[in-house]
Amino acid sequence: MRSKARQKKYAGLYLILPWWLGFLLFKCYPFLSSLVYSFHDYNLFKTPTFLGLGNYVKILKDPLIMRAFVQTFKYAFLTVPLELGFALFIAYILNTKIKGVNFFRTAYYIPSILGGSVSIAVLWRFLFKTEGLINMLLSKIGMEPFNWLGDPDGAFWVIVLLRIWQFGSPMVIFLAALKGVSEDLYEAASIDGAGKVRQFFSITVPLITPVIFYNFVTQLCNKFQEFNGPFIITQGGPLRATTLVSLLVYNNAFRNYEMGMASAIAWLLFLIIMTLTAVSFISQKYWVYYSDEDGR
Amino acid sequence: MEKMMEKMMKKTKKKRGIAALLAGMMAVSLAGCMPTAKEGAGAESPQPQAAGAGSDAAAEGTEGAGGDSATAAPAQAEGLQVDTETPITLRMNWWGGDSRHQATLAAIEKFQEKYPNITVAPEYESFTGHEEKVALGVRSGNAADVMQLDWSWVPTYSPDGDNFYDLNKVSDILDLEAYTEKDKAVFTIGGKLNAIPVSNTGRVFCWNKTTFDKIGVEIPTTLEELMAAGKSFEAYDPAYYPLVTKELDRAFLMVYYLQSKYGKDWVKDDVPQYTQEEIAEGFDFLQSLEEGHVIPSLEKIAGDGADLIDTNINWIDGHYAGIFLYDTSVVKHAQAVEDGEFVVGDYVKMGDYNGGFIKVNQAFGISATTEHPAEAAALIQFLVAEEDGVTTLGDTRGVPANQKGLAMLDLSGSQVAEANAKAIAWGGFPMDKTFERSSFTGADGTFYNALQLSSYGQSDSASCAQMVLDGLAEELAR
Amino acid sequence: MTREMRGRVQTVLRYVVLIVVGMFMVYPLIWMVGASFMTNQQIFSGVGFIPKSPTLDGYIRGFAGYQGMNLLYFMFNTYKFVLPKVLFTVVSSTVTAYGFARFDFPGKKFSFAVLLSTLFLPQVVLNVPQYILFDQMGWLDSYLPIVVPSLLAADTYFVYMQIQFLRGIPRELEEAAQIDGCGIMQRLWYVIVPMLKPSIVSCALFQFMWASNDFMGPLIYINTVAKYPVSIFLRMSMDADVGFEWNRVLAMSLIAIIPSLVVFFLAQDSFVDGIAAGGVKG
Repeated sequence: MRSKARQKKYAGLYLILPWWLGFLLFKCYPFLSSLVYSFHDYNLFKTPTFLGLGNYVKILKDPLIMRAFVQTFKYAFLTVPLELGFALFIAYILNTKIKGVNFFRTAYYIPSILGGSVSIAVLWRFLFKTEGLINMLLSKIGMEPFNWLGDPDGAFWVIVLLRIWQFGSPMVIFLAALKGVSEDLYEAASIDGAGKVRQFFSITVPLITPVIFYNFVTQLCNKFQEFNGPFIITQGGPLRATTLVSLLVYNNAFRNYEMGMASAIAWLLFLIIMTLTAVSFISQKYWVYYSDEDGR
Repeated sequence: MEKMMEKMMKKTKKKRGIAALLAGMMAVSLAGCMPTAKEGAGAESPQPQAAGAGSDAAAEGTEGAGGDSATAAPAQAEGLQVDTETPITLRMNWWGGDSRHQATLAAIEKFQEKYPNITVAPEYESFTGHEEKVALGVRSGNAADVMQLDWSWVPTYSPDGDNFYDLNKVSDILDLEAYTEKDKAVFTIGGKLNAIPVSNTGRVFCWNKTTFDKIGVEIPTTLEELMAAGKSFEAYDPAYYPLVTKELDRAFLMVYYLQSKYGKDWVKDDVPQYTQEEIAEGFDFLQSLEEGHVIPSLEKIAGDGADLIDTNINWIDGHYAGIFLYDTSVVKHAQAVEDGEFVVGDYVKMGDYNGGFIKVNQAFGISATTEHPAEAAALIQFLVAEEDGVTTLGDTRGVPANQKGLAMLDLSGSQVAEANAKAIAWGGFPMDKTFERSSFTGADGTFYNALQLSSYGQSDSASCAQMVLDGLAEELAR
Repeated sequence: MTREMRGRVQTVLRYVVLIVVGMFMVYPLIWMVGASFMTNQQIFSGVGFIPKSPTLDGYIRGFAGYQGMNLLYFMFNTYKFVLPKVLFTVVSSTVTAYGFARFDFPGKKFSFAVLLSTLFLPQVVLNVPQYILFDQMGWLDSYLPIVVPSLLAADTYFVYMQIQFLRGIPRELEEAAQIDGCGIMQRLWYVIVPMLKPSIVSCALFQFMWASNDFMGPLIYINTVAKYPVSIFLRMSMDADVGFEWNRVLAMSLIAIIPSLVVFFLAQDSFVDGIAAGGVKG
C-alpha cells in the first residue's frame, strides 16, 4: 500500500489542478479584495482611506452589531439540529419500500423547490399572522392566539420554522446515503433480534456518519449566512430580533455602500465559521466513521 | 488568511508547476486588491470618451473650478450635434412594473422612428436587485447611456458630481428651461447637473370614504377632527382605525407634524433644524395617536402578516380607513380596497404652517462614460418634452416635472394627478438627501429602530429623539 | 402472527406520519395553484385556496410577455446556461473529489482547508470584486460568469459532498481494479462513478434547481433583456410603487417550477438503482 501511495503522489495533484486554477482565477482576487477592503473606510463611490483595525474595533464596540451576532448564533444552533433531525427522520421513513414513495419524496422536496420565492413569503406570513392558520389551530386545542410576527421571539421562531420546513436538501442527501447501507446488514440484525430503533442507531447512523457530518458542516455554514428568510419575511424586525449578520452585511454593502464595514463584518463571520468548522473536524475522529479507512 | 498566504508563498520554493502560477496570481491579486482611486473606470475620469465628440475645452475650465454648487457657473452647451446618419446603439435602463415597461418600449419605438439610425437597447426589470446592478454599473464604468434613477442615488453615486454626465453641456439638445431652478438645484453637484427630475411627488392623506360613512364620521381636516375620529372608530368597533402607518409612514407623519407646528426645514445646509426636545414632542405626538386609537400599534400591523399596506387584509376590507402616502402610490392603494370609495383628502391641518416633504420622484441621468452624450440627451428630451414621447409615457413615471411635457398631457380623471396637484399646491418643504436613506428610515435604520422602540414601549420619547439625532448626524457626515 | 401485526401497524403509522406532514409540505403548491386564479383582494383575504370567481387573467397576461418574448422564451434562456452548468459541475466536482478522497499528495491538507474556506464568506461582499473581475475579462452581459467557474469546480459545496460520499465507500473494489491493471481514470469511470451514483444525481439535481432559481447572479451580470433567465422575468412585472397582479406572478412561477418538479420526480429512480450499487458494502 505505501509504495503505491507514493506512486500516486502526483496523480492527486493533477486531479485537483482544475480546482486550484478556478480558485486562483475566480475566487482568490475577490476574497483578498474583500479582506483588504475590511481594513479601509471604503464607500463604494469614494476614495478609500486606510483604517487598520478600525472597522473591527467599531463592530466590537457596537451593541447592535453584537446583538446580530448573538441572534445568528442562536438561530444557527437552533435550526441546524432541528432541521437535520427532521430530515433524517423523514429520509429514514422514505427509504423503506412503501407504495407511492416517489410521490412522497417529491412532495417533501416541494418547499425547497419553492425556495425563497415571493409566494413563500406571502404564504408563510399568512400562516403566522394574528388571524392565521397557526393561531386557528392553537385556539382549537384551547390555547391563546399569539402575535407571532409582532413579537420579537415569535418572529424569530417563524424564520427558524421556515428553514426547518425547507429541509429538502439534507433530506435528499440523507436518502442518497441511506441507499448506500446494505440491506444484508438489516436482515442480519433482525435475525439477531434487534428492533428497528436499535437497528437505526447501531447500524444506520454509524454508517452514514460521513454524510451526517457533511450535512452538519454545510448547514452550519449556510445558517450562519442565512439571509433570505429574514429578508423576505420579517425584514430583520421587530425590534431587530431577526436581524442576522448577513442582513447587516447586505445593508452595509448595498444599502449604505460601506464596503469596508460590510467586509469587516463578513470576515468576522468568516473567522467564527472557520473556528466552528475546525472544531467540528477535530471532533470527527470521535464519532465519524469512514469506510475508506478500514484496515489502515 | 495571512498565515494561509505565507504557507502558499512557501510552497513556491518547493513546487514549480502550479506553485509558480499561484505565486504570480497572488502578486497580481494583492496589488489589484487595494481599493485605490484608480480602480473603477467610472469613478473619476468621466470626460475622455465624451470629449471625443466635440470641443469641450471651455467646459473643462469651469469643471476644474467646481466644488461649490452655489457659486460655480453652469457649464456652457458644447454644441454637440445629434448624429442622424451613423448607426448608433444606446443603452437605456429602468425599473418598474408592466405598464411602465410597455409604455417605455412603445415610446422607444417612436424615438427610433424619428432617428432611424439610432437603436435603443432597453434594459428593464423590477426594483428588486436593481439598485445593486446600477450601483455596480456606475462604479465600474459599465452603466447604460441613459438611466432612470432614484433621486437619492444621484448624490450617493456621484459624491463629486463626476459619475454622471454634466447635462449643462448638452443644454442645447436637452431643454433645461422647462425645469424650475429648485428642481435643477437638487441634482447640481459641484456645479455639474447630474440628472433631471422626471416627476415630483409628495405625501397626501387618502381615505376610505365608505368606512367613514359607515361609522358616521366626516373626513378629518384638522388634528382635532382626526383625534375625534379615533374615538368614534374605537366606540364603533376597536378593530377599526381611521389611519394606518408603518414605520416609514410614521417618520413622514412625525416630520409633517413638526413642520406644521414649527415651520422649518428638517435639515438645512446639512444642519439638523430640530432639537431633541422638539423631536421628542414628535414621538409623543405619535404615541398620542396610538393611544387615541387613531393609528394601530406597530406590533398590531406586524401581526397582520402583510409587508405592504395594500396587501394588508385590514386595508383591503376597510378596517384601516386612511393612509398618508405618496401620490404615485395612490392607484395601487385605491385598487386594493374592496367595495369602498377611495378619496384623496385635503391636508389635515396640524399647525400654522404647511408641513411635509416634496421630493423628486425619479430622475433621468446620462452615464459619465457614454460615447453618445448628444444622442442620449436627445432620447431624454424626446421622452420628457416631445409630444410623441410624453403622451406615450403618460403618467407611468408620475406627473411630469417638465412644464412643457406636463402641458401636453390630459390627466383629468387621474387620481394620481389629483393627488399630485394637491401635494404641489400644498408646497411643504424640500426633502433632504438623507431622509429616505435606508440606513436612516429603512428597515434597521436608526429612525426606523427608534420608531419601533417607541411603539413597543421599550424607550421613552427623549431617548428615541436622541437616537434619531445621532443617526442623522451620522448620515450627514457620510 | 404478532410479528405480522406489528409490521402492519408500523406501515399504517408510517403512512399517517407521511400524509400528515406531507400536507404541510404540499399545501403551498396547492395554494399557489388556487391563488393563481384569484384577484389580488381574494389572495390577501385568507389562506384558503379555492377561488371564488376564478379568473384566467394571470395566465393570459403572463404569456403576453415583452417585445414578443414570453415565459417559454425566458425558460429556454435559463436552460441554455443551466444544462452546461450542471454537466460541468458534476464532472469537475467528481474529479476534484476523487483527487481529494483517494490520493495523498503534498499540500493536501492545506488545499482542503482553502477549498472549505470558500464556503465561509457571504457572497454579498464578493459581488463587487467579482463584478470588476468579470468586467476586466470582458465577460459581462454573457452567461460566461455563471458557467465557466463551474467547469473549474468552483461550487465547493458539491466537491465536499462528493468527497464525503466517496469516503463512505470502501476501497477494496478499486484496489482489485488496480491489480487488474486499471488506470486512474478507468477506476474513476468504472468503479467509483457507479457507486457514487446517488450522490452524483443529488449533485446534479441541486445544481439544476439552484441555478434555475438563481436571481442575483444573472441580474448583476446580464444586461440584455433577450438574455434574461426566467428568474428575472418572473419579477419583471412586480412594481412595489404601482402594484402588480399577484395572480400573474403566481401563475408564471408555477409554470416555471414544472421542469424542476419533473426532473426531481424522474431522478428518483436513480436513488432506487443506488440500492444495488451500494449493496457492495458490508
